[in-house]
Amino acid sequence: VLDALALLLPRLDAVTRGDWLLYGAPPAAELAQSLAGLALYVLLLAAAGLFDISRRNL
Amino acid sequence: VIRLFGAIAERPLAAVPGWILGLLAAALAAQIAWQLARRAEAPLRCRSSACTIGPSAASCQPRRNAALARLAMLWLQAFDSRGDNAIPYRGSITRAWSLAGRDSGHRSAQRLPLFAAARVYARNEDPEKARRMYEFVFAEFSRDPNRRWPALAHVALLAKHRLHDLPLARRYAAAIQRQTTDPTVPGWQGRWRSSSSKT
Repeated sequence: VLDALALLLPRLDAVTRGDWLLYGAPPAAELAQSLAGLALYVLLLAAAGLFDISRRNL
Repeated sequence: VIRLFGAIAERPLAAVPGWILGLLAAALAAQIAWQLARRAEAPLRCRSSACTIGPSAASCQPRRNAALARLAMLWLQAFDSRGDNAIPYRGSITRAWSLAGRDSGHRSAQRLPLFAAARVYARNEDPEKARRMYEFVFAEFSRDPNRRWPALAHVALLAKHRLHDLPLARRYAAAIQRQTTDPTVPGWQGRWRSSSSKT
């Protein structure tokens, strides 16, 4: 169950790393990859929101 | 009542525009595919049985040691930095270092203890303790010269300018020159030889 949930949630640990503060910023490629994962999650949230609103009888 | 309320409050699935369904399905598929592709980088769920038995034990152990080493370093620094500590730098940096598993290849966990040894503990007012820390950094340097030379370089500077022990500083500089093979490591020995001949 946890593994299935992990597939749906974003990897926030990948964008809040303590070693960036201690040992310097990550390479641009690594940062872009983490941010792309978050952008994908925002897209999923937006699509779910649209789906939910369009089913509401307002 | 709930069923009736639900039926009134929600439109049927057919009322949802096709492009929204398509977007939701595509976003869901993309999210799952992305998470599956990056699964190898995700933190391990280290169950106790997996850590002691089975093939995954080897991959769990260094991570656990690295976490322990970081905790030990945090404790040590908090202990030494607190206001009511009458004898600073009494904690054992070597113990924290041994927890980092000095030859385990877990390099990110090793950086902080060696950094602290060179930058904090080697500045001890007691020359004897400072020398012990220099020798500790020197001994650990020779295990991985190409990565650990900055710590020894700093210690060489301390030996020269704080202890005014030029032969010791040159011994460290010569070790950096001799043992490192990385071409990006700066040449220390030649410059120090010329500076010592001037003084």
